[in-house]
Amino acid sequence: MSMIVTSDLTKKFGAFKAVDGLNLRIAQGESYGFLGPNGAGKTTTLSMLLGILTPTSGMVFIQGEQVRSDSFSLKRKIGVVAEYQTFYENMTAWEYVMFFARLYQAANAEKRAEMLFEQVNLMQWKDALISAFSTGMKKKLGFIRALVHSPDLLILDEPVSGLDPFGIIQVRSLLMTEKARGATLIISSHILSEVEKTTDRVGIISRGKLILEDTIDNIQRKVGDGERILFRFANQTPDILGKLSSLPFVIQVSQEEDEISVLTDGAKDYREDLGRYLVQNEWIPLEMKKHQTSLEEVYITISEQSLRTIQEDLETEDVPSD
Amino acid sequence: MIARMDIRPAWMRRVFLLIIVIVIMAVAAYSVAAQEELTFVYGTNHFNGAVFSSAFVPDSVDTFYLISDHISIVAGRLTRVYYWPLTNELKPDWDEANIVVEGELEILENDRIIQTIALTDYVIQYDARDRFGTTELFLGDAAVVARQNFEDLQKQYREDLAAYFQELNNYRQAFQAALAELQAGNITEDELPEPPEAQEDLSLFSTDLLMGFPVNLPDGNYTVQLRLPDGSIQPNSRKRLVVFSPIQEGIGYNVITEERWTVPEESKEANQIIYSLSGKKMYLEPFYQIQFNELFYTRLNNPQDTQARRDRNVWIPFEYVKDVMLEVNSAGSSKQIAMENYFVRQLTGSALGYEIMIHNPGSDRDVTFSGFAIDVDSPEMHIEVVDSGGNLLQYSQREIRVLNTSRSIWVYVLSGLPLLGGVAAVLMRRRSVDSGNLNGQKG
Amino acid sequence: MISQNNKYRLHAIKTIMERVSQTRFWGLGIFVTLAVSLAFSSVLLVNFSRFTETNLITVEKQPLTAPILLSVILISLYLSLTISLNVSREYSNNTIEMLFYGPVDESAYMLGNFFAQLKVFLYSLIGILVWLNLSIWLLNLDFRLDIFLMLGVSILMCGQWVAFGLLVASWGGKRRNTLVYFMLTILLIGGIQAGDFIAATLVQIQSPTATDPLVVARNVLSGINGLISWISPYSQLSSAFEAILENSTSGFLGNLVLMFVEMILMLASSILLLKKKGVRG
Repeated sequence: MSMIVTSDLTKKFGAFKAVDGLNLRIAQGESYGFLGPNGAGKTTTLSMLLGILTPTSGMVFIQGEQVRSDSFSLKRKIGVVAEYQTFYENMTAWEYVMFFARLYQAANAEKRAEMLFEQVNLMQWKDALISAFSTGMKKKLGFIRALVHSPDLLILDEPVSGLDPFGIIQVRSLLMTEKARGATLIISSHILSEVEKTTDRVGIISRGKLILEDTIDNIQRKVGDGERILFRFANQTPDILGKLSSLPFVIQVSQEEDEISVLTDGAKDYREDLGRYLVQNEWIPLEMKKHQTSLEEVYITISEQSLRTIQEDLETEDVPSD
Repeated sequence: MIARMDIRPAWMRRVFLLIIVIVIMAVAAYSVAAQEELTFVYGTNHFNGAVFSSAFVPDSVDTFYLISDHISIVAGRLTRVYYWPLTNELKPDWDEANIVVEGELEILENDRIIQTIALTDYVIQYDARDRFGTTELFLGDAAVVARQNFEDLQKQYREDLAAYFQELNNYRQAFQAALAELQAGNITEDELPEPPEAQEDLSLFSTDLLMGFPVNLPDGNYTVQLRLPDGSIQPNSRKRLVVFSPIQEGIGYNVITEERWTVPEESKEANQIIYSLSGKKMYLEPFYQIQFNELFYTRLNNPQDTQARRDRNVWIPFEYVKDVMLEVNSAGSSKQIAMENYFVRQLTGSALGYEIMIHNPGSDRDVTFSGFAIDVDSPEMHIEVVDSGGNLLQYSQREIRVLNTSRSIWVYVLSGLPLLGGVAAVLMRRRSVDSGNLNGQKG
Repeated sequence: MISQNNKYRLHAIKTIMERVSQTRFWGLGIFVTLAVSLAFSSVLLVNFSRFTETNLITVEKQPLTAPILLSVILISLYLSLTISLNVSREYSNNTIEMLFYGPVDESAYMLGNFFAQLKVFLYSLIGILVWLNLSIWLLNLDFRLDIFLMLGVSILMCGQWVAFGLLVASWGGKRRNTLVYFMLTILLIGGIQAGDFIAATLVQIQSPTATDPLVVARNVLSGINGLISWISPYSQLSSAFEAILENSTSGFLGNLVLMFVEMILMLASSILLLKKKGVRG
């Protein structure tokens, strides 16, 4: 069953299209990474998911119900960690969390809050005023607020920005727990390694349009232009680069210090073929590994491609018609 | 930001538009008022609950008011109307033009003529010494006779006055001569001539013999129009007429203290409390009063009024109460106080002020007022007026309380109490938050 | 039958109301305002006492009317201004958006804040009532149940002021704008009333002709002032007090209805305006 479905979701601010015909489908229990450059329309999309902004056209459904600003029953099931969180600074952390727990009518709120406070190591500061909190502490407090009512859907916008490495580990652990509990996660982040670690599927948005959406493995395969296999040899001969280049499935061979990189056509995993070929030539490999294209590389590639497409589109638009 | 800048001018434009509309309306209203030609208006000589008053109903007013079951006079006139900026009202220039419009006044109810009233002579007369008790309206032939009688009285008064002055003149001459005789020792003081008796003023007032339509209607909403002798309706003569009744009658009091008898207070409402000081003496002068709706009553006297309110009432005094007793209840005891006539004597010299004394019936002084003397000797007293048969006069109950003025400074002290509450609340809050911090550090 | 959505909305209103009203009592503001308003009311009451001392007699229906009127107006003004600044601060700081992520919509937010101020006002009324009763006892004034009616109807007047504060906040958005709009509105109303008074006085002093612009200005200002008096919560409250003292049920109910309708209109407008502008500052 789908947790979130958007249908031709569009949001215009004047003549500017912030989101342009977005179609998303996120399954229940899925962890979804939402990527895009600044101004791509991520936050606008999330705001429409939450009913904060009304779509110019198109619809948003959560658990099959159309989202509006007064979709109380739906919003009670959602937890949100915004990029820039603000707090009632004259309240203590505990008062603040309990206020939201009451607002969401959270069951066993005190017990759950205590557990969350412990998990992010804020228990000792629970009765301190929020105004005395550091940025990182506030970020963690935002997580407690978002999770205190055990939401079915967790929307996280830049969840780990402002956290120290230790905090990131705590938060990642929280998210893993939530995922294990069955919650659906939507993570919008610039820290791509974080998305890579916590999401099953990502969608990349640019200029309001979803330009790519798939599992991380598939994207790496699609965007990576083949597969790269790395070697280190005990008895390397000078002709090794030329011989490897002559293999039919090899596209490119390069060497950096003692590491040789072979780019294959990616049609299949060629490590076995290459292994036999090395043995035939009596080369002794010390190490052979497959290189995975990172999400950063994918993201940059996609973004560059998208930028080029956009520039081309603009240039086409600029050409006066005859 | 752009959206906000769009909104502001639109909002301001609307305000400016509103102001311009109001200015145009004011100027239009003013220009309508500045008329030069003769205008048809109504004038009323109406019963106001106690006596007769007059009111002016200009063209711009579509409704006027009369009290039910009393004859009031409505007259159609042609006059010049001018705008009076001080009160923002239209006024008739009766001296310039006051032309009676002949015809018949038709009274309509639900668009059906229920009465046609002919133009009638009328005269209003009263004794200036007691206007409340003596005002009288004469109609038709009686009005002619009443006016004639008044003129006869005036003539008689003038003749008597002339005779008196002649006698006075004779007396002065005789007195001078007698004085010379007295100085010469030819006569004694007892033989000096007596002055003539002073002529009593003519206190009767009378209007001229006027013409109008006597209207006497029960409660209700009517329409009036003036039908001219040629059968047509006088333009602008069709107006709404609201006829209303009093709400209730009651007793009011003039409350007088010896030290400040020139500035008596009035107590017209039964729920008013008379506050005084311990040990003081006060006098209560009761009067009959009648209650009307404020809007109706104010517009009865000035149909152009815009301030009066429909949800308020007014009490109108119309006669002093005589031959009653005041029952005073305080601290479980009850006593009755008889009404007395009082005379106020002005004190001169170092004791400058007033003294209120019981009037001596044999004295040549007039009674200043009639009322009840009360010694304020209990923190809380309840009074009411009963007639000779012991029956309570409706709406005469009042409460008298002694104000503890010496303790008034303490109300300031009381007003500071919330600050203590505030300090306590802030301290409690700080303690709860601080202890949290301490707990945190321990943890 | 209340729908499930409205049940959730009511819960949100209640929760927001509790939070906002609770924070009002964490600072000295409301206590100082209550003390100051009672101090001003004390001045009126002491003046009444002194006047009686000088005049030896005062005939009054309820000498506590003016003190009650003054104190409830001052407290309402404070609550109106604070809620206005509070909402605009939430707007500027973005805490309002945090709320709207959850089960809160514009009406729940506005009504929560509205009822929070009314709750604070109710607590303040207890303070006023204590002061009134002690003053009655001190000065030997007459204790009458009409003071309860007056305090009761003043809740509506406070509601009008708070609704006005919310309307200004949703109109102004940012804190500075809200403060400026709030003060400008008060100054505009005060300025028109003062202008009307000055023009009327000048007309009386100078006795101008009908063509004098001063007369036109007086008429215009008087017209606007009449309208303001009609819609002003202060005028409506004092009329309601008068109606109480005159036992005029129709006058009392008429003012009550007027106050209620005006309050609802301002509240609804503030909600609609917030809906239109959105919660993103």
